[in-house]
Amino acid sequence: MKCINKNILLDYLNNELSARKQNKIAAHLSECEHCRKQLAEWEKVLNITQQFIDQDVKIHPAPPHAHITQRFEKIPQKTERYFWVRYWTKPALATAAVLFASLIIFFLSPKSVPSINRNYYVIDNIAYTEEIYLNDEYLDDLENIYLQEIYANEELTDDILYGDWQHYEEVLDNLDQDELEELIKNMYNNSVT
Amino acid sequence: MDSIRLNQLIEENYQKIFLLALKMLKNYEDAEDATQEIFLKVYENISSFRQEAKFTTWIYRIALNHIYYMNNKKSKEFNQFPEAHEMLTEMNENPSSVLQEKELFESLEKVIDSLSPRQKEVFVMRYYDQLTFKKIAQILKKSIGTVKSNYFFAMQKIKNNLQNQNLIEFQEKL
Repeated sequence: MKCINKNILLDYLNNELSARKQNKIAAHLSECEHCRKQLAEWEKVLNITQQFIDQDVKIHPAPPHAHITQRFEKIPQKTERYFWVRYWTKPALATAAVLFASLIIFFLSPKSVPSINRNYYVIDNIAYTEEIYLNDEYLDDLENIYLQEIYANEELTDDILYGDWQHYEEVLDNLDQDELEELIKNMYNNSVT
Repeated sequence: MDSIRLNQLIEENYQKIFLLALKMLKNYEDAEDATQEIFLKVYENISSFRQEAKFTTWIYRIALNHIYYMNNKKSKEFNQFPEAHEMLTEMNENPSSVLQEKELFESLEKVIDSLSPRQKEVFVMRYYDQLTFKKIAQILKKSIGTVKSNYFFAMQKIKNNLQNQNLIEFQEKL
Protein backbone atom coordinates (compact mmCIF):
# COMPACT_ATOMS: atom_id res chain seq x y z
CA MET A 1 0.00 0.00 0.00
CA LYS A 2 1.20 3.49 -0.86
CA CYS A 3 1.81 6.06 1.87
CA ILE A 4 -1.31 7.70 3.21
CA ASN A 5 -2.45 11.05 1.88
CA LYS A 6 -2.54 13.79 4.56
CA ASN A 7 -6.26 14.36 4.03
CA ILE A 8 -6.93 10.68 4.74
CA LEU A 9 -4.75 10.94 7.84
CA LEU A 10 -6.86 13.85 9.08
CA ASP A 11 -10.03 11.91 8.30
CA TYR A 12 -8.54 8.97 10.20
CA LEU A 13 -7.80 11.15 13.23
CA ASN A 14 -11.29 12.71 13.06
CA ASN A 15 -12.95 9.27 12.79
CA GLU A 16 -14.44 10.23 9.47
CA LEU A 17 -13.66 6.94 7.71
CA SER A 18 -15.63 3.73 7.50
CA ALA A 19 -14.58 0.92 9.82
CA ARG A 20 -13.08 -1.01 6.89
CA LYS A 21 -10.93 1.94 5.80
CA GLN A 22 -10.00 2.75 9.37
CA ASN A 23 -8.65 -0.81 9.80
CA LYS A 24 -6.79 -0.64 6.51
CA ILE A 25 -5.06 2.57 7.56
CA ALA A 26 -4.24 1.14 10.98
CA ALA A 27 -2.65 -1.88 9.30
CA HIS A 28 -0.55 0.34 7.05
CA LEU A 29 0.53 2.51 9.98
CA SER A 30 1.84 -0.49 11.83
CA GLU A 31 4.21 -1.15 8.92
CA CYS A 32 5.16 2.34 7.73
CA GLU A 33 7.35 4.55 9.88
CA HIS A 34 6.99 7.56 7.58
CA CYS A 35 3.20 7.53 7.89
CA ARG A 36 3.42 7.04 11.65
CA LYS A 37 5.56 10.18 11.86
CA GLN A 38 3.08 12.09 9.73
CA LEU A 39 0.23 10.87 11.90
CA ALA A 40 2.07 11.91 15.07
CA GLU A 41 2.64 15.39 13.63
CA TRP A 42 -1.01 15.82 12.73
CA GLU A 43 -2.07 14.48 16.10
CA LYS A 44 0.07 17.12 17.74
CA VAL A 45 -1.37 19.88 15.56
CA LEU A 46 -4.94 18.78 16.29
CA ASN A 47 -4.27 18.55 20.04
CA ILE A 48 -2.74 22.02 20.21
CA THR A 49 -5.55 23.46 18.10
CA GLN A 50 -8.13 21.83 20.35
CA GLN A 51 -6.38 23.16 23.48
CA PHE A 52 -6.34 26.66 22.02
CA ILE A 53 -10.00 26.47 21.11
CA ASP A 54 -11.01 25.14 24.53
CA GLN A 55 -9.27 28.14 26.13
CA ASP A 56 -10.73 30.54 23.61
CA VAL A 57 -14.27 29.25 24.17
CA LYS A 58 -13.79 29.42 27.93
CA ILE A 59 -12.75 33.06 27.86
CA HIS A 60 -15.50 34.05 25.46
CA PRO A 61 -18.73 32.91 27.06
CA ALA A 62 -22.01 33.95 25.49
CA PRO A 63 -22.62 37.61 26.27
CA PRO A 64 -25.68 38.35 28.40
CA HIS A 65 -28.73 37.90 26.25
CA ALA A 66 -31.74 37.66 28.53
CA HIS A 67 -32.78 41.12 27.33
CA ILE A 68 -33.05 39.80 23.78
CA THR A 69 -35.93 37.52 24.56
CA GLN A 70 -37.58 40.45 26.35
CA ARG A 71 -37.18 42.52 23.20
CA PHE A 72 -38.96 39.80 21.25
CA GLU A 73 -42.26 40.74 22.86
CA LYS A 74 -42.04 44.22 21.32
CA ILE A 75 -41.20 43.01 17.82
CA PRO A 76 -44.02 41.64 15.70
CA GLN A 77 -43.28 38.35 13.98
CA LYS A 78 -43.64 38.38 10.23
CA THR A 79 -46.78 36.50 9.32
CA GLU A 80 -46.44 33.30 7.37
CA ARG A 81 -47.07 33.69 3.66
CA TYR A 82 -47.96 31.21 1.01
CA PHE A 83 -45.18 29.53 -0.93
CA TRP A 84 -45.83 31.44 -4.14
CA VAL A 85 -45.99 34.75 -2.32
CA ARG A 86 -42.67 34.09 -0.59
CA TYR A 87 -40.83 33.04 -3.70
CA TRP A 88 -42.47 35.15 -6.41
CA THR A 89 -43.16 38.50 -4.81
CA LYS A 90 -39.58 39.75 -4.87
CA PRO A 91 -38.76 38.77 -8.50
CA ALA A 92 -42.10 40.19 -9.66
CA LEU A 93 -41.52 43.46 -7.83
CA ALA A 94 -37.96 43.66 -9.16
CA THR A 95 -39.18 43.15 -12.75
CA ALA A 96 -41.87 45.80 -12.31
CA ALA A 97 -39.30 48.21 -10.88
CA VAL A 98 -36.93 47.63 -13.81
CA LEU A 99 -39.76 48.18 -16.31
CA PHE A 100 -40.87 51.33 -14.54
CA ALA A 101 -37.29 52.67 -14.45
CA SER A 102 -36.86 51.88 -18.17
CA LEU A 103 -40.06 53.78 -19.01
CA ILE A 104 -38.97 56.77 -16.93
CA ILE A 105 -35.54 56.78 -18.62
CA PHE A 106 -37.16 56.45 -22.04
CA PHE A 107 -39.52 59.40 -21.50
CA LEU A 108 -36.96 61.62 -19.83
CA SER A 109 -34.11 60.96 -22.23
CA PRO A 110 -33.32 63.78 -24.70
CA LYS A 111 -34.95 63.22 -28.08
CA SER A 112 -33.53 64.09 -31.46
CA VAL A 113 -36.85 65.83 -32.31
CA PRO A 114 -37.21 68.86 -30.06
CA SER A 115 -40.33 68.96 -27.97
CA ILE A 116 -42.71 71.90 -28.29
CA ASN A 117 -42.67 72.45 -24.54
CA ARG A 118 -38.95 73.18 -24.34
CA ASN A 119 -37.96 76.79 -23.82
CA TYR A 120 -35.11 76.83 -26.29
CA TYR A 121 -33.22 74.56 -28.64
CA VAL A 122 -29.59 74.05 -29.31
CA ILE A 123 -28.14 74.05 -32.76
CA ASP A 124 -24.69 72.61 -32.66
CA ASN A 125 -22.92 73.53 -35.84
CA ILE A 126 -19.73 71.59 -35.39
CA ALA A 127 -17.86 73.24 -38.22
CA TYR A 128 -18.44 76.90 -37.48
CA THR A 129 -20.03 77.58 -34.15
CA GLU A 130 -20.00 76.26 -30.65
CA GLU A 131 -23.54 76.48 -29.41
CA ILE A 132 -26.32 78.85 -30.39
CA TYR A 133 -29.38 79.00 -28.18
CA LEU A 134 -32.60 79.77 -29.99
CA ASN A 135 -35.62 80.97 -28.11
CA ASP A 136 -38.97 79.42 -28.93
CA GLU A 137 -40.36 82.64 -30.33
CA TYR A 138 -37.64 82.75 -33.00
CA LEU A 139 -37.86 79.15 -33.95
CA ASP A 140 -40.78 79.54 -36.33
CA ASP A 141 -39.01 82.45 -38.01
CA LEU A 142 -35.88 80.39 -38.40
CA GLU A 143 -37.87 77.65 -39.98
CA ASN A 144 -39.64 79.94 -42.41
CA ILE A 145 -36.53 81.76 -43.51
CA TYR A 146 -34.52 78.64 -43.77
CA LEU A 147 -37.22 76.81 -45.63
CA GLN A 148 -37.25 79.51 -48.29
CA GLU A 149 -33.57 79.04 -48.79
CA ILE A 150 -33.63 75.32 -49.08
CA TYR A 151 -36.89 74.86 -50.97
CA ALA A 152 -34.84 74.85 -54.11
CA ASN A 153 -33.33 71.58 -53.03
CA GLU A 154 -36.01 68.98 -53.73
CA GLU A 155 -34.36 66.16 -51.85
CA LEU A 156 -34.32 68.13 -48.64
CA THR A 157 -37.72 69.66 -49.04
CA ASP A 158 -39.64 66.48 -48.43
CA ASP A 159 -37.82 65.73 -45.24
CA ILE A 160 -38.35 69.18 -43.88
CA LEU A 161 -41.99 69.33 -44.88
CA TYR A 162 -42.63 66.05 -43.16
CA GLY A 163 -40.83 67.26 -40.06
CA ASP A 164 -37.64 65.23 -40.20
CA TRP A 165 -35.83 67.45 -37.77
CA GLN A 166 -32.77 65.31 -37.60
CA HIS A 167 -32.25 65.79 -41.28
CA TYR A 168 -33.02 69.46 -40.87
CA GLU A 169 -30.28 69.79 -38.25
CA GLU A 170 -27.82 68.05 -40.52
CA VAL A 171 -28.60 70.59 -43.19
CA LEU A 172 -27.98 73.40 -40.72
CA ASP A 173 -24.64 71.82 -39.88
CA ASN A 174 -23.67 71.85 -43.50
CA LEU A 175 -24.19 75.54 -44.01
CA ASP A 176 -20.98 77.47 -44.31
CA GLN A 177 -20.21 80.20 -41.83
CA ASP A 178 -21.34 83.06 -44.04
CA GLU A 179 -24.64 81.40 -44.79
CA LEU A 180 -25.27 80.68 -41.17
CA GLU A 181 -24.39 84.18 -40.01
CA GLU A 182 -26.58 85.66 -42.69
CA LEU A 183 -29.44 83.45 -41.65
CA ILE A 184 -29.12 84.33 -38.01
CA LYS A 185 -28.68 88.02 -38.74
CA ASN A 186 -31.85 88.11 -40.76
CA MET A 187 -33.81 86.24 -38.24
CA TYR A 188 -32.81 87.80 -34.95
CA ASN A 189 -31.61 91.22 -35.88
CA ASN A 190 -28.37 90.23 -34.20
CA SER A 191 -30.13 89.32 -30.98
CA VAL A 192 -28.74 85.80 -30.77
CA THR A 193 -27.54 84.83 -27.30
CA MET B 1 -43.03 27.13 17.38
CA ASP B 2 -43.90 28.01 20.94
CA SER B 3 -41.89 30.64 22.77
CA ILE B 4 -40.49 28.22 25.38
CA ARG B 5 -39.00 25.99 22.66
CA LEU B 6 -37.72 29.05 20.82
CA ASN B 7 -36.00 30.37 23.94
CA GLN B 8 -34.47 26.95 24.53
CA LEU B 9 -33.07 26.83 21.00
CA ILE B 10 -31.70 30.33 21.34
CA GLU B 11 -30.07 29.39 24.62
CA GLU B 12 -28.46 26.33 23.01
CA ASN B 13 -27.11 28.22 20.03
CA TYR B 14 -26.29 31.66 21.40
CA GLN B 15 -22.65 31.08 22.29
CA LYS B 16 -21.97 29.10 19.10
CA ILE B 17 -23.30 31.91 16.92
CA PHE B 18 -21.46 34.47 19.03
CA LEU B 19 -18.15 32.60 18.58
CA LEU B 20 -18.74 32.32 14.85
CA ALA B 21 -19.42 36.08 14.69
CA LEU B 22 -16.42 36.83 16.89
CA LYS B 23 -14.01 34.84 14.75
CA MET B 24 -15.40 36.12 11.47
CA LEU B 25 -15.78 39.80 12.46
CA LYS B 26 -12.65 39.95 14.66
CA ASN B 27 -14.22 42.46 16.99
CA TYR B 28 -15.96 41.74 20.30
CA GLU B 29 -18.54 44.54 20.16
CA ASP B 30 -19.39 43.86 16.53
CA ALA B 31 -19.80 40.16 17.33
CA GLU B 32 -22.08 40.94 20.26
CA ASP B 33 -24.23 43.28 18.15
CA ALA B 34 -24.28 40.83 15.25
CA THR B 35 -25.41 37.97 17.51
CA GLN B 36 -28.27 40.05 18.89
CA GLU B 37 -29.34 41.11 15.41
CA ILE B 38 -29.13 37.53 14.13
CA PHE B 39 -31.43 36.28 16.88
CA LEU B 40 -33.85 39.15 16.36
CA LYS B 41 -33.98 38.17 12.69
CA VAL B 42 -34.56 34.58 13.71
CA TYR B 43 -37.48 35.66 15.88
CA GLU B 44 -38.97 37.92 13.22
CA ASN B 45 -38.79 35.22 10.57
CA ILE B 46 -39.60 32.18 12.66
CA SER B 47 -42.89 31.79 10.79
CA SER B 48 -41.00 31.18 7.55
CA PHE B 49 -38.89 28.44 9.17
CA ARG B 50 -39.75 25.14 7.53
CA GLN B 51 -39.18 21.80 9.10
CA GLU B 52 -37.35 20.52 6.01
CA ALA B 53 -34.25 22.32 7.24
CA LYS B 54 -33.17 21.81 10.81
CA PHE B 55 -33.27 24.80 13.09
CA THR B 56 -29.48 24.95 13.50
CA THR B 57 -28.95 24.81 9.72
CA TRP B 58 -31.45 27.62 9.25
CA ILE B 59 -30.03 29.75 12.04
CA TYR B 60 -26.44 29.30 10.77
CA ARG B 61 -27.50 30.41 7.31
CA ILE B 62 -29.09 33.56 8.73
CA ALA B 63 -25.97 34.09 10.85
CA LEU B 64 -23.49 33.71 7.99
CA ASN B 65 -25.54 35.99 5.73
CA HIS B 66 -25.62 38.63 8.43
CA ILE B 67 -21.92 38.23 9.26
CA TYR B 68 -20.91 38.62 5.61
CA TYR B 69 -23.22 41.63 5.32
CA MET B 70 -21.56 43.21 8.36
CA ASN B 71 -18.08 42.33 7.13
CA ASN B 72 -18.81 44.08 3.86
CA LYS B 73 -20.29 47.07 5.64
CA LYS B 74 -17.21 47.80 7.65
CA SER B 75 -13.86 46.11 7.44
CA LYS B 76 -12.28 46.75 10.75
CA GLU B 77 -8.67 46.16 11.74
CA PHE B 78 -7.81 43.04 13.67
CA ASN B 79 -8.63 43.52 17.30
CA GLN B 80 -6.55 41.60 19.81
CA PHE B 81 -8.21 40.27 22.92
CA PRO B 82 -5.86 41.11 25.76
CA GLU B 83 -8.03 39.35 28.31
CA ALA B 84 -7.28 36.04 26.58
CA HIS B 85 -3.61 36.26 27.41
CA GLU B 86 -4.21 37.48 30.93
CA MET B 87 -6.34 34.43 31.54
CA LEU B 88 -3.73 32.07 30.15
CA THR B 89 -1.13 33.58 32.46
CA GLU B 90 -3.37 32.99 35.43
CA MET B 91 -3.89 29.37 34.53
CA ASN B 92 -0.27 28.30 34.48
CA GLU B 93 2.14 29.00 37.27
CA ASN B 94 5.42 28.17 35.52
CA PRO B 95 6.59 31.46 33.92
CA SER B 96 8.65 29.94 31.10
CA SER B 97 5.93 27.56 30.02
CA VAL B 98 3.40 30.39 30.32
CA LEU B 99 5.48 32.41 27.88
CA GLN B 100 5.78 29.47 25.51
CA GLU B 101 2.07 28.73 25.66
CA LYS B 102 1.21 32.40 25.25
CA GLU B 103 3.42 32.65 22.19
CA LEU B 104 1.94 29.47 20.77
CA PHE B 105 -1.65 30.57 21.27
CA GLU B 106 -1.00 34.08 19.96
CA SER B 107 0.49 32.55 16.86
CA LEU B 108 -2.51 30.24 16.48
CA GLU B 109 -4.89 33.15 16.87
CA LYS B 110 -3.09 35.01 14.10
CA VAL B 111 -3.03 32.09 11.71
CA ILE B 112 -6.74 31.36 12.29
CA ASP B 113 -7.41 35.00 11.65
CA SER B 114 -5.46 34.86 8.40
CA LEU B 115 -7.55 32.02 6.98
CA SER B 116 -9.73 32.85 4.00
CA PRO B 117 -13.40 33.49 4.90
CA ARG B 118 -14.45 30.10 3.49
CA GLN B 119 -11.70 28.24 5.37
CA LYS B 120 -12.41 30.18 8.53
CA GLU B 121 -16.16 29.57 8.56
CA VAL B 122 -15.58 25.83 8.13
CA PHE B 123 -12.85 25.80 10.76
CA VAL B 124 -14.94 27.73 13.30
CA MET B 125 -18.04 25.63 12.75
CA ARG B 126 -16.01 22.45 13.01
CA TYR B 127 -13.90 23.29 16.07
CA TYR B 128 -15.70 26.03 17.97
CA ASP B 129 -19.22 24.89 17.32
CA GLN B 130 -18.37 21.18 16.98
CA LEU B 131 -20.56 20.62 13.96
CA THR B 132 -20.04 17.59 11.74
CA PHE B 133 -18.78 18.02 8.18
CA LYS B 134 -22.17 16.86 6.97
CA LYS B 135 -23.95 19.56 8.94
CA ILE B 136 -21.50 22.22 7.75
CA ALA B 137 -22.06 21.10 4.17
CA GLN B 138 -25.84 21.44 4.67
CA ILE B 139 -25.47 24.92 6.12
CA LEU B 140 -23.17 26.12 3.35
CA LYS B 141 -25.08 24.22 0.65
CA LYS B 142 -21.80 22.71 -0.52
CA SER B 143 -20.60 19.15 -0.93
CA ILE B 144 -18.86 17.42 1.96
CA GLY B 145 -15.76 17.20 -0.27
CA THR B 146 -15.64 20.98 -0.70
CA VAL B 147 -16.10 21.55 3.02
CA LYS B 148 -13.38 19.04 3.87
CA SER B 149 -11.04 20.59 1.35
CA ASN B 150 -11.48 23.98 3.08
CA TYR B 151 -10.82 22.28 6.39
CA PHE B 152 -7.66 20.53 5.12
CA PHE B 153 -6.28 23.79 3.73
CA ALA B 154 -6.95 25.50 7.05
CA MET B 155 -5.24 22.73 9.00
CA GLN B 156 -2.27 22.71 6.64
CA LYS B 157 -1.85 26.47 7.17
CA ILE B 158 -1.94 25.97 10.93
CA LYS B 159 0.59 23.15 10.74
CA ASN B 160 2.92 25.12 8.48
CA ASN B 161 2.74 28.09 10.79
CA LEU B 162 3.57 26.04 13.86
CA GLN B 163 6.38 24.31 12.01
CA ASN B 164 7.88 27.48 10.51
CA GLN B 165 7.96 29.28 13.81
CA ASN B 166 9.37 26.24 15.60
CA LEU B 167 6.59 26.54 18.12
CA ILE B 168 6.25 22.80 18.30
CA GLU B 169 8.84 20.22 17.49
CA PHE B 170 7.96 17.46 15.11
CA GLN B 171 9.35 13.99 14.69
CA GLU B 172 11.94 14.12 17.43
CA LYS B 173 10.11 11.59 19.57
CA LEU B 174 9.95 8.88 16.93
